[in-house]
Amino acid sequence: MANSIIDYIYWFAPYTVGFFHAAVIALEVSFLAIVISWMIGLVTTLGKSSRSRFYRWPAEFYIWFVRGTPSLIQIFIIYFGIPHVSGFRLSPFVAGVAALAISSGAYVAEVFRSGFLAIPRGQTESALALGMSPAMMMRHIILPQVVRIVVPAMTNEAINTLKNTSLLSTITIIEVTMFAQLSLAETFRPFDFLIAAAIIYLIMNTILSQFASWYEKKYSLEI
Amino acid sequence: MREGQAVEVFRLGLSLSLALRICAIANLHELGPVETLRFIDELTVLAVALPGRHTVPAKPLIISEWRESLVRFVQKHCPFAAISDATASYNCLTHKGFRMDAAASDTKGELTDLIDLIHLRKSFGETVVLDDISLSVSQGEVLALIGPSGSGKSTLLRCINLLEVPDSGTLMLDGEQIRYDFKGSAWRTARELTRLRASVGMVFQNFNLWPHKTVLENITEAPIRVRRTKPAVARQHASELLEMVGLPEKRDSYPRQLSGGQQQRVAIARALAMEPKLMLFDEVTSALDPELVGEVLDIMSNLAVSGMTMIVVTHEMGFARHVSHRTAFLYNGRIEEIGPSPDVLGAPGNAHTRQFLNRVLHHQ
Repeated sequence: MANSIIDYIYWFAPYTVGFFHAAVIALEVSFLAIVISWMIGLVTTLGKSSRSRFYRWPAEFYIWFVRGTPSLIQIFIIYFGIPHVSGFRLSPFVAGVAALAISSGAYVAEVFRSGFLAIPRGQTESALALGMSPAMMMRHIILPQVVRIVVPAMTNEAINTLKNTSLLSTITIIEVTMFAQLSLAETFRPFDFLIAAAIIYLIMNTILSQFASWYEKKYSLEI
Repeated sequence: MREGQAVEVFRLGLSLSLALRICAIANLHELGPVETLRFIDELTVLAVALPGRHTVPAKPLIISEWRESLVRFVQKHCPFAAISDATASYNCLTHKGFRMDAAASDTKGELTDLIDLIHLRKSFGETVVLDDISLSVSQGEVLALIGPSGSGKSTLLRCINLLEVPDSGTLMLDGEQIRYDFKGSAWRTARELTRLRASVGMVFQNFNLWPHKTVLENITEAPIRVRRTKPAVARQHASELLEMVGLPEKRDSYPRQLSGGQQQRVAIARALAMEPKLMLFDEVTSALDPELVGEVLDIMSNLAVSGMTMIVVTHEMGFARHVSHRTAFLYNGRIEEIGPSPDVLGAPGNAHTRQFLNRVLHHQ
């Protein structure tokens, strides 16, 4: 028994390095995509809350289109579709980051919006009454509160983005899912590699959600 | 003065809108000779403070000529003989714009208006909320606004620091400082709004402290960001203010850890940190438990005694009677009665005021 476990470890060991690199790629892509999606989301939600149609309509169109189409289609459009029309070819990494950021940004925008709606009107008024400019008020009074409110929903969205990196296996990025597929094709042992991939996703998401709940506790508005 | 004569003021080198306003204000307040002179002097100061807005030349020599011609104009059209004498000792002090010695000595001991509202109107859709409100509050005066709910008290207060923008009318704060005319939306820029709001403190019914900042940060935030006070100085000042409102030990607490009364006292300290010329109180005790009302009213009384100019929307008739100098009764967007607090609250002349006071006092 002990022998067979040691044998198994010897057999699997070469693949751990590959999984490690794949996980690093997944983390890189999702980290960039998450940060960019926050920016997209913030701009979009400000646009959608704007009184001017000039800002509101593009924001609404973006949310409507992105939420209404599958992420996989969006990835294909950016990686295969755009080069076909324009001749301008993105590297798989850039296309992957862009696609994930765009597809997540629409949801992030709505999460931000729910956060803004949760701030009582009095918070804005007291800031204005003290002579703060709208930009000052947004940065120092409103946004810090919004961020605290949206942490749980934003964690959901970040986890989603991290898991959606598996879709990037379709555009030749060797992330965790892709690596598992390559390895099982080589060894014909699907169970081992799929379980290993699942465990890696679990570890990454656990760390992410632990960090989020630590942040939430530290900056909580409640006691 | 009639409005047709405004054209002549225009010929004397003033803008038409300013001339019209001189006529309107002189009519409104039924100014006598000394008052008119003082008013013209204030206008001169204002004109210097805001060069370009009323096509007034910015050089002192020309401005004194400009003022002379304005006085001559008023003399010609108003039967005021005394003006020429008072004019003789007109002096220019270069320190902070201009100061008129003659006018000052004539009106010695008299309070100067800190804020003037002239023909203010505001409606939300079809509903008229403020219907032609004209009101002056003097430096150091405490004015109580009372009236049934929906009578426009809060809206009036919110118009004064432009959280609501009036549809029409004029708002003058401290004469030389800030003056707004509301005609459509032409003049409004965010920076102007901000400038006005910074010099008017406001305390709200629901405190509106910022939950993510400590008590001290709540107080220092605006001075540091808006006035660019050094953080150390702002903190020092905040500590003094907390001492004043009796909460020195709460400086590092968060708002949620305080009682309603304590939160409201912090909110008052926060407004005072901007060293406002005028404090507005919008039903500040209405959201408090009855036993906490007293501590907030005490602070406000102290503030009134210290000479702060205050406009207080309140349902506390005791406060109105004992602390405020004047009381105004609002009904359906109009000031139906205004006068010294003992008169308005003790012997109201207006039927609506009587009815309202009966209801409130019986309830208490």
